[in-house]
Amino acid sequence: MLPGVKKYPHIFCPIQIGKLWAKNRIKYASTETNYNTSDGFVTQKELAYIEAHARGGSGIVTTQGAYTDPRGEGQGYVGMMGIWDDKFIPGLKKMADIIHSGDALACLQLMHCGRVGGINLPYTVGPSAIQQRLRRFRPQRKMSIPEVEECIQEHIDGARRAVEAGYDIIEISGIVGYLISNFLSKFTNWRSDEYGGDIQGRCTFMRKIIEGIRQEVGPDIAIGIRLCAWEMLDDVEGNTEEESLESIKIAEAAGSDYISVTVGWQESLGSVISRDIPMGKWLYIAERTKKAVKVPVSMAYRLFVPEIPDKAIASGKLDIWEMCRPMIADPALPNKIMWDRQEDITPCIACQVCLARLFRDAPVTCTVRPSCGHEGEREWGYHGFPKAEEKRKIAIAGAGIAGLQAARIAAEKGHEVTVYEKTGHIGGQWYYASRNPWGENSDKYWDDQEFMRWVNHMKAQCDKFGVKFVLNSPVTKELLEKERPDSLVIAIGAVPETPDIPGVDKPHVVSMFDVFTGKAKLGKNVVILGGSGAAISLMLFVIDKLEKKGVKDPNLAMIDPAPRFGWDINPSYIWRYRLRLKQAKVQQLTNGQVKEITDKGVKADWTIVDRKTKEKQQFKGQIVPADTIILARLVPNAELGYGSFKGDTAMIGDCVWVRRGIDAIQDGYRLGMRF
Amino acid sequence: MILSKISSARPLIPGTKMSVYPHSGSSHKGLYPWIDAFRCNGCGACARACPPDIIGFHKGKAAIVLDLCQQCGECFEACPVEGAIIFKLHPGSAETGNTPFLSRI
Repeated sequence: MLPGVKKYPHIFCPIQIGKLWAKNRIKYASTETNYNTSDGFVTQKELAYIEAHARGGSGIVTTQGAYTDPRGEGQGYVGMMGIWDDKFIPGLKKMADIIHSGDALACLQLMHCGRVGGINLPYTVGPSAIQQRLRRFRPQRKMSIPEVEECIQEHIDGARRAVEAGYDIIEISGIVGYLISNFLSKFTNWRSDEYGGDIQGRCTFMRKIIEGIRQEVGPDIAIGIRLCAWEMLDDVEGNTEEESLESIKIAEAAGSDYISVTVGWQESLGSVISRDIPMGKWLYIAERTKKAVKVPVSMAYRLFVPEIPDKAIASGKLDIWEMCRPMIADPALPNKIMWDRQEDITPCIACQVCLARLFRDAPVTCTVRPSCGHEGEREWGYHGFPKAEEKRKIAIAGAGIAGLQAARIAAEKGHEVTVYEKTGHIGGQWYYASRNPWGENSDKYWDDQEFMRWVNHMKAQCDKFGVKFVLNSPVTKELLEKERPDSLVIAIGAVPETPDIPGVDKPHVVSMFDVFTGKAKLGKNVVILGGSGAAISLMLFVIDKLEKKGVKDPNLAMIDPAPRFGWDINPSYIWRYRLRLKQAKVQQLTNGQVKEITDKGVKADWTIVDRKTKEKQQFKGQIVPADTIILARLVPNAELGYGSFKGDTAMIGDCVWVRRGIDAIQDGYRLGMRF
Repeated sequence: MILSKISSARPLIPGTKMSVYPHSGSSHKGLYPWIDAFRCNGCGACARACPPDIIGFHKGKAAIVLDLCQQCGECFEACPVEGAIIFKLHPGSAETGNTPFLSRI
């Protein structure tokens, strides 16, 4: 028995779905990638991506959702797969064959995006015309009864084509605002005909689709459905949890062989899958669903480590561990768990870059795995890098995320790599960011461990390939003369800018990194000089620290020349950060210029522009009271430059120009590819 | 150096760094100059050497207007940094084998 199977026996226990058996209880959930052509044909890029997942070892591999109508109303993403014509079958068949070659059950998802669809059209369709809450989506149009009936028939035809292409399982997607969920929800379904009314009536559309598909494909093909178990739309009169449970029961009665439950809509106001949700938080929903139905229940959503689903399966809360983002970050995750090589798993940090890219009509990429979407391209080395012909000696200055990533790739290629780090810890800015008040589990609330999971993974990889780490040792001219490397990689990151204003050397002016590590003490009133993502994350940290200390009504402010703060933060996160800043009454002094730092506070000019009325409010020479002033405008660290070493010198990460973590990791990866 | 081997997708004219591949006049065929932003130190030698003067600087790194590139190779010759300018195939060209969006299966 393999070590991981022994450790997590419940995950690797086979499970019956309909009349089929899956080899284990890991399901790669359906993930839109935007890799396909805009008219719905499968591309080589998508096939290579799916191949990585098929070889990864999960029992069920789901394709991305395929839209079923020729008008494009169901197409919610530019690179979404189509299944509305027989011309798509050859491509889909290739994909099914690839999945079968990995000994997994091939599952095809039918998805009509409904309210969030119609990407190439000026409108979207749905049961009723309800105003959109998000700017991205287009106005909704009510479907007539013939249109609804045609739509049901299109789903059934899609299922027939999927079976022709060789799929074992047909999954129907009715989550987060897609057409079936529109019909189910009280929020979007105001119809009074047979497709509306009470929950039985609202489920008619879903029931007819499931029954129609069952009639078309026969009893040997399994049918599954993804449904929302809690819509999180209570503010707009969405379904109650009881109604959602009722809809799940109706789906089971109609002939669904498994139920995949999810939480939340794209339009709900709470966070569901981001890092501030502790892992396993939504398991109670799976448990409740499991009590109500007899068929297997699967769930994705914040189950990133095998311990939680294994325990949940053992205690009867869950049947199938579904995963989407953790397997974008590492398609080989099931195999690595099976061999109990968990240090080799590239951990997802729930940064939502994949989701943000989808909503910008861009192909999916991953922060922690830059080879995402390049699995078929040999130079990106998803299936391993070849050894370099010439072994070189590479010195890397800085063990931040860019340096670690470059070191790992260069070492995998067989080069002799040494990483020099000035401070006593690795991980660079992520080490500091891991102090943020978002947590993996509630008892470690102060510690955002998910950043350090990646850093520790990268350290383990570097150790595996023989990278030498020298801590507490900055790279100097003497060191380079002594070591004589062939290449020097400068990855020394960013430092907080010290502005050229009077009073900046006062003792209550501190660096943001000292605040994160706890070296600098916080006063009651805090002013942060900065407005980027890093400064906002620092502010959240400060708010949390002061709240825990029990400081009442602190005076918090941020000053930056930028017109709006948090410009570089992912749209999935920025809204809740802004909300948090608002709750804590943080003054955001935009278009600001600091004139002087005094003992009492900061003298500054700023202009606040109202976003709606465009009204300007100018403030000149005002004093913002402050006991602690934190420098948080990050600028490239200029300690080392291109002149420091005669020979091959490369500069990566924030010391080129300050960006986000994804860019630093991409830099490191790309440079590593070129060694 | 290893770095120059990356660009050796095409044989070179003996004694030069130039490719034997005929210069087509269009940057989407043949080899095109590509700047390794991590190695470019922004010295400006390529910009001074460029005959049609299409090399500028952004974020301290050289940037080429590829549509106007004549693929003469002067920038490659002028660059003092090994590996900062590489002549290579366009990433989407059929010769590289990486043509993910072209295939309609």
